[in-house]
Amino acid sequence: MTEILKGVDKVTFEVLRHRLWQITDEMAIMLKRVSGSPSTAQVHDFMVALYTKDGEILSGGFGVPWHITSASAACKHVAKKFASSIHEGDTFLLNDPYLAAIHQSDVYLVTPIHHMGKLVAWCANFVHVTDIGAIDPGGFSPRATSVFHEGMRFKGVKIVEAGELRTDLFDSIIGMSREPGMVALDLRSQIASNNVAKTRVADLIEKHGWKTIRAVMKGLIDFTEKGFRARLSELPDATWRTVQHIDILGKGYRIPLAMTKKGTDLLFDFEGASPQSPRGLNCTYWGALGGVMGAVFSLLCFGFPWNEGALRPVTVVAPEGSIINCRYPSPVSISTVAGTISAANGAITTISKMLGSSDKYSHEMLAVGNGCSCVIRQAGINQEGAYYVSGLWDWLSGSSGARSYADGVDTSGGQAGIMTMMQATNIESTESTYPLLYMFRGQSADSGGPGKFRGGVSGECCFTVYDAPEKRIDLIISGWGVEAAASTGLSGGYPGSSARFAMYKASEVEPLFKKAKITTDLVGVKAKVEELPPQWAGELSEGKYMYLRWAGGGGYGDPLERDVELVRADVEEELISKDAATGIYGVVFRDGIPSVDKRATLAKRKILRSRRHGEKIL
Amino acid sequence: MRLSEYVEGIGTGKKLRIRCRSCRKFLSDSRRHWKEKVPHKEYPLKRAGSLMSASTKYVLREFYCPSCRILLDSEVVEPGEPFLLDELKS
Amino acid sequence: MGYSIGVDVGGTFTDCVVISPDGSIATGKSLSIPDDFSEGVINSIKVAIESLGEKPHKILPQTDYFCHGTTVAENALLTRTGAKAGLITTRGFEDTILIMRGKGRIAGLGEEAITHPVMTDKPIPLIPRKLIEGVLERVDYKGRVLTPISKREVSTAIDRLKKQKVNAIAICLLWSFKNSSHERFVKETIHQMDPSIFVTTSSDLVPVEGEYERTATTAINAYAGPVFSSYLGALTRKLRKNGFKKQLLVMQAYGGVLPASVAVERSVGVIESGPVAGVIASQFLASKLGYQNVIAADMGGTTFKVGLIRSGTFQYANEPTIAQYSMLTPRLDIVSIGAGGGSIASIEPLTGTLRVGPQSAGAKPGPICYGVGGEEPTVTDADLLLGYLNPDYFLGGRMKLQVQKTMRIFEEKLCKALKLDPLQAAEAIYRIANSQMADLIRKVTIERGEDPREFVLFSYGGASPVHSCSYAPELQIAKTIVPATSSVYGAFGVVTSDVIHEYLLSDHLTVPAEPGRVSRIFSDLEASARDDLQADGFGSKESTISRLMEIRYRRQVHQLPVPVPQKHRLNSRDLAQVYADFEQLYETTYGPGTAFREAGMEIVHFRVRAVGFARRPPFVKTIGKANGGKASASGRRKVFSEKDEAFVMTPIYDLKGFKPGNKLVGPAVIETPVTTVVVRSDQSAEMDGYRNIILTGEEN
Repeated sequence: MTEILKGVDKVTFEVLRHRLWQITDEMAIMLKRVSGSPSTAQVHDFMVALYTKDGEILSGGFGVPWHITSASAACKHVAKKFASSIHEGDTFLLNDPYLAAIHQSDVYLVTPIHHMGKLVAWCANFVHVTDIGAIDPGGFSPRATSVFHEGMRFKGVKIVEAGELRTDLFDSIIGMSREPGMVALDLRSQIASNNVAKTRVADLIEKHGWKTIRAVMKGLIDFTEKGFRARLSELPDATWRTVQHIDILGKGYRIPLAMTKKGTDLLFDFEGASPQSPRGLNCTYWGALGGVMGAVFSLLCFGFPWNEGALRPVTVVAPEGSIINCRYPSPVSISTVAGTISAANGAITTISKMLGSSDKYSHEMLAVGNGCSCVIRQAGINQEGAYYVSGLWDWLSGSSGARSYADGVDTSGGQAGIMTMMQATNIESTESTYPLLYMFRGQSADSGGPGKFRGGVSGECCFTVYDAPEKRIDLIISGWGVEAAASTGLSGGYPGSSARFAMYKASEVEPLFKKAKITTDLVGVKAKVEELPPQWAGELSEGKYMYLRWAGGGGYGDPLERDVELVRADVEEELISKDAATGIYGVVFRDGIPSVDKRATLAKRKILRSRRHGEKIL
Repeated sequence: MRLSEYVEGIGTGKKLRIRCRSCRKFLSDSRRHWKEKVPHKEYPLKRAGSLMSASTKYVLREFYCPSCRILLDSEVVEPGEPFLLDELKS
Repeated sequence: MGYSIGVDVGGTFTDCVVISPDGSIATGKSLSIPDDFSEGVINSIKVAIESLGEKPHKILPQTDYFCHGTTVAENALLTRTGAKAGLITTRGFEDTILIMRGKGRIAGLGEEAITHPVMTDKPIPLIPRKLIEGVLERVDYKGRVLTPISKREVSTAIDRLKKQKVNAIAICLLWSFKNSSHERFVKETIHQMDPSIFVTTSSDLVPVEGEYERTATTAINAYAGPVFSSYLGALTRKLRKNGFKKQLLVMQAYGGVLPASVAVERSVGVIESGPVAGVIASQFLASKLGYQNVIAADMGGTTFKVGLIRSGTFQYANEPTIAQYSMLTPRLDIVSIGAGGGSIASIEPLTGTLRVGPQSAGAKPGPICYGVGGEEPTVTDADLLLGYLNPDYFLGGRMKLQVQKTMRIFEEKLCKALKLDPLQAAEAIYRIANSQMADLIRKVTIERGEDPREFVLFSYGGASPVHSCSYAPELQIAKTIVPATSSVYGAFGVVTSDVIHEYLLSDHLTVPAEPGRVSRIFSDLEASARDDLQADGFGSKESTISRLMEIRYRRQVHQLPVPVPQKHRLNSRDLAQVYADFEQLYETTYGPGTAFREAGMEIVHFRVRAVGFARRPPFVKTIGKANGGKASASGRRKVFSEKDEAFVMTPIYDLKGFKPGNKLVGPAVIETPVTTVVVRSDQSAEMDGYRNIILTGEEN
């Protein structure tokens, strides 16, 4: 094992390992401080990382993990394209999804780090900028049918040259956005973040010498690769399969995944994926790779630095022209939360199946949670009379999939149940900033996929316009998972609930709100309900109430094996309904407070089991 | 060896036999995948809960142990879609 | 003026400082008693008073000022032994405290948790779902009532909670900080129905925007309230029995003390106030010594904690958490990592590299050298092997440290893998632990836009001065101060702390705001402030009142406090200056070009702070005769020298033999029964007039 640390003092290695994480931590802090936008500072829709001079991942920091690999591609592209014209003090901007970025809204800023005039490393970050000048405000464009509808696209430009901001370019870029002021802040925070990394890495080289740092960089990557491979070698060689379904516009897209582990290598093969969509759900290869690697980092690389070493044993194959690897110029603006999440979901499932074939690692299994996106963007005139574009992040309250030893975490933040750093905003901050009023926001009973261990529950919310000068705003929805169930379970566990988008029109009855009583749930509300497709752009106006429920977490194991006491507690805590307790879990209650009728439960479970025999009932 | 919560393999290669971890009932040998040997059923997604989609485009497919009737595995698939077969490499 | 007493109740020890009217200081230490913390307090007072040759019932009647910090509330929270508490909230939003904005799973946790998400969980709910009641009511963002609250609804909710035998109720309704009438109504109804229930409303406690954090703060307050209240009751009775007549004061996590009568309503404020006392002590000392910028570094058994004092004032945390719950009560900004004396050193199996922490052997089983069951190498063990700790003089010789056993275990667990001898392994542990501490200080200062080189380091807590001689130079911190009172630093901090009342009103006003309205808001807040100061016995000369407005740019999340002139009638020119100050402060804090000016500004909070000055001891400076004289060593032993990368014969000094003005040049080790100060060969040390040890780097 010692050969991976050739020429490096082990103590220095440990000191520097810690220090590199600290540097990415500082990059994240700088993004949040300078930007101050809800999306960056509160929701944490960003990523920071360090790369070697060849663009290999050196230290993937805090943030959305699918971008760690894409920003690596960005560094590699810039390194190649600009080659001899890369100078100290330059910073490059790139957001072309066909080159590296996953969709245009996630703008990459890539900065070379020099030592004694020689390129030695890169740092990079992205934030989801407020508006990218696409056909729909906010960057996720359900109406786009080509990448040309999806806003400005850069293949790499010097936004900072020799330490000087190129104001001509900067002004042109922000001028293409509906929100120039906010985008200017976004970009400034990104420049500041990379500047911090640049200074810190330079200080580190100054102190320890380039030779040591170079050896440590190599050592860290080798360490992760070695550790990851050692873990893989403890698991059986096999192929594990799963399938994800993206269902929109009356069409279903299949994304099957076969993951093969052989020796210490992992192959993720999306063979059989549906042809690309005319809408922006597609992802480019970078999205598929990022989605897979997000799962690899989170589920297989705990305890190791997240770097290129995790990538070396992994191959990702995605058929060209498919929804998981689309051809230029297909639209991709929704890719981060469609193609990419589905790739992550698939990888989470196949990896967990692999972990489940080992006594040593089965406690590391995770079913998919919050498996499909429920992105909502809003735009209009706010209560101050100003035009704005922004998001709504309630769905990032999330839900996590079940584990082999415990339930999934309820409303646990983030996408796909692994991105624990993403989070929702307060209703009070939403209502004070945007012309909206919430009827309710709560956890959604029965949303967690049933199982021996249940998936974490998701949540639901409902809101209307309020104090809006125009009595309306635009809403843009880019979700999926309404017809299918994206949060698949494990070991027989059922999937978490589907998502739901609906518009309640109260015009036919008294406006819900004006009657001294405001509705706090939608039970018994006599309004016309329109189920919305998950890709939708329209308006929210007075008398209309937008309802959203995001997807629950997948379950683990046979629901009839669930501890009766846990079922009772779930009913008491309003996490499952009595109907589900009896119908799915076979637990029967006496009247009144949930007290379990043990004998009836045994009998009920026996009946439910006896109905399990082969037969197609559809 | 453990293959999942409810399924395990005994022996290797051609001698591999798959059995239920709950009741030890043998489910299949190396010639056929165990999913093709055990009872299975396809249900509307609603079986997984009232908040599930009512769409008939997708089904919940369940596989049971023929002996103890434990739920060995489930899949969310299109009706009639081939089974998702996990295969050990010998 | 009479006696002042400060007591700091910690997890293991309860420390006491008694300051006599002549300024002399007596100290006492006794074991904490978790079953009845008040008993431990009385014991520590006895020890201190008896060291003066006196009896508690003689001294307590002459005590004007009794102040203490306690862990009783956080103990109830962490062990989940608090009240059976219910929550009443706005219907439709009952799950707010359970959802935790989706952030409760990792809030306050570090790298290890973030990179291993499967193993993370939300905290066990303090208030289970069945004890959360939603009532029909709604107020909008401007404070207008959309749906009035109904008596019937509220009574039914309270009845349901009463049936489940709650003894505390938290009330947090949406937008209550804009219009508290509904919360007040619920509170009054509870009082009418059952006055024995402990009630806390969010609009009294933390009238601030952000319903999740407000609910969590209020819920913790209700949860810890009854336990804290009975503790204060028991302690007060015991002190009264011994003749104490004045008001008992309680340390708050925001860095002041409050009278028990007020503190009892705000138990959330005392949680994690322990480390705060050290920062206050540092602030007090710094003001005496004339330092403006201080890094207060406390190294204990399990953690290393850092707090900052900038321009003489302490800093407040941005997004404080307690047990993964996000809090709104102001708290001093103290950041910690798992790098304490008990932090365990282990070998990473793959690379064969050495790791230190975050696991800790704590006090039990403790480091190997304590000989109380510890079998894992720790930082303290490394300190021993490097010769920094004296095996025969630990706790004044009361505990013999086991060198041989430590060597043996180092050999077994570390040396083979590292291909190092035990002493080299110890050196490696020392280096890694120091680098982690340096990293934390770097992060804490830089995160707040500060340069560590502009700070003086105060190094306290048992193990801290063994390590600060190494990490301070790495950060280019020129001067390190080891306080004379470092063994009872918390108790000392508590007794030097001011009485601080905070008043806050949330009212979003778009800038420019109407000056009359602003003036009225401040006048109202200040009226309460003056009443409270008077009730505490502070005249206008012994207190100050200050005003702040918190302002933000609309659509950006950072808000900053800006001082407001103390004028009865503010005019638009005064306010224009405040706005200009805000704009400047924003740019200096977050950097040039960081403000989204187009969106305009808004005032979000009005704050008034009332400070009653602590009756501080006449702190006597004693300059030794031999000004600049050399201290004389009490012995010599081989100690590891970082500069020479070798063990060298090093003079050992006993602090008792040190006199103010004495100087020495490193390498040296200065010993006291509770602390060891290491001076490197490129440093010198001097004792100042207050008996603090001051370490400085070599002059170039």
